[in-house]
Amino acid sequence: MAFTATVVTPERILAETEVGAVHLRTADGEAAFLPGHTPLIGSVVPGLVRLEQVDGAELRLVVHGGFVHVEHESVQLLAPVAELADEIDVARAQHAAEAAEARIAELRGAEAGDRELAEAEAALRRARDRLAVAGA
Amino acid sequence: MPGGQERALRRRIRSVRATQKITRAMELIATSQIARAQARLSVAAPYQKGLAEVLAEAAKDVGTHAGHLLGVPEDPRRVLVLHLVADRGLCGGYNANVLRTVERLVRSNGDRGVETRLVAVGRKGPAYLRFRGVQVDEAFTGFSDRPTFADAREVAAAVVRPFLDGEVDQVLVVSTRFLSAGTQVVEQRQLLPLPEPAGDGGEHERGAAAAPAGEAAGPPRREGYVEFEPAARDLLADLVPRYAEAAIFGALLEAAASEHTARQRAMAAATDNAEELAKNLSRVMNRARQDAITTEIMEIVGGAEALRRDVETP
Repeated sequence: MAFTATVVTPERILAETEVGAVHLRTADGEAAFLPGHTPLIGSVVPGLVRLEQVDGAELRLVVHGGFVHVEHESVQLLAPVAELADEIDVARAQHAAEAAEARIAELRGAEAGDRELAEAEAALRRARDRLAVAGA
Repeated sequence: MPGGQERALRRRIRSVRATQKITRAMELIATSQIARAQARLSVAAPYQKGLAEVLAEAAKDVGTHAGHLLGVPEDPRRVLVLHLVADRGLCGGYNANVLRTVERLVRSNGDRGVETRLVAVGRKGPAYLRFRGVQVDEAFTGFSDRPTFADAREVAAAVVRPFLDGEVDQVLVVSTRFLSAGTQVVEQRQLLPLPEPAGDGGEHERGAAAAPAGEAAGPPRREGYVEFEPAARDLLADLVPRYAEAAIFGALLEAAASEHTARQRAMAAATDNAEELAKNLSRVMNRARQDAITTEIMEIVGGAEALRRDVETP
C-alpha cells in the first residue's frame, strides 16, 4: 500500500516521499506509524523525526513542535518550523545555544520577565534539538 | 520678457518627467512584488489547510465541551482588533480602506460599551488612528511588504496571550483579502475563539454522502473515527497558538499581495497622469514659444516698416 509522508511548514514543503514508516514523538511518547495506521491526530514533541523511505534510505529532520495527521495512506506533519538534518548549520546552532545559555544566565540574575526567560529557554531547546539531530 | 514663461514651463515639464520616472519605477517594482507575494501565498496554503483539517477533526471530537476556545462568543465585552496595513503610503486607498473599517468598529464598540484593544501591523495604522484620537496598544512595523513566518509568530503571540489569559473574549482581524489579482476586499473576521468547522462544507458533505454507500458494499470505512494524542481537548489548546500563527501568516501574505497590487495600480495611474500633464504642458509651452516668436517678428517688421516710412515720406 502506498504510504506518503509530507512535511509541511508555512514557508515550504520540506519533504514529500513514499515511506515504509515514520518515527517521531507525540505527546504520549515514541510513536511509529506504518501503512494502514488508524487515523490519528497528535501534537508532535520537538525533536527528531525519521522517515524510513521505501528505498531503504532514511530521511532525518528536526521539528520544533507542530502536529501529525495520520490517515490510512498518508502522514502529514505540520510544523511551524522544521529542517532537514542535512541542512542544519551546526556552527550556527552551536553559537545559538551558547548565546541562549548566556542570555538565560543573565536573565536569571536580573530577575527579568518570565516571557523573555521563556523565549531564551525555547531558543536553547531549539538549538539543542538541532545539534542532537545533526550530530547523530 | 518673452522666454520667461517658456522657461518656467520647461522647468515644470522637467519636474513632471522626473516624477514620472519615479512612479514608473515604483510601478514596475510593485508588479514584480505581486508575483513574489502570490507565490509565497500559495506555498503557505498547504500548511494552513492542514491545520484547518486538524482543527475540524478535533472540534468534531470535542463537540460542545470546547469551552471558550471554539465558536462565536455570544456577548463579547472585551475585543482585541488586529489590523493589517502597509508601512508606506503611495498605494491608493489601500490603507484608508482598512483603517476606516477599524475606526468604525472601534466607535461602534465604544457606543455599545465594548472595550476594544488595538494591535496594529504597519506604520500607517497608528499614524492614522492616533490622529483621530483612537489609541493603538501595540504596533508591529517594518515587514508589511514582505512578512516572514517569524513575523507572524511575533504578532500571533501578542494577540493569543491576552485571549488565553482571559483578558479579551474575542480577537478580530481586519485586513485586505487577496481574492484574485483583480479583486481585493477589506474583511473583518474572527481569529479567536477558533472558527467552528461548519464552514469547510465540501469535504464533510462528500464524506457524509459516501458513508451510506460504503456501508452497503465493501468494508465499512472508519469514517470519522480518529485517535487523538493527547486527547482532543488538550490538543485544541495546543492548536490555538499554532492555528492563530498560520491564520495571521496567511492574512499577512494576502495583505502584502494586496498592498503591492494597490501600489502598482496607484503608480500606474500616477504615471499616466504625469504623461498627460507633461503633454499638456509642452503644448502650452510650444504655444508660448510660438507667441514669443510671432511677437518678435511683429516687432521687427513693425520697426522696419516705421523706418521705411521715415525714408519715403520726405
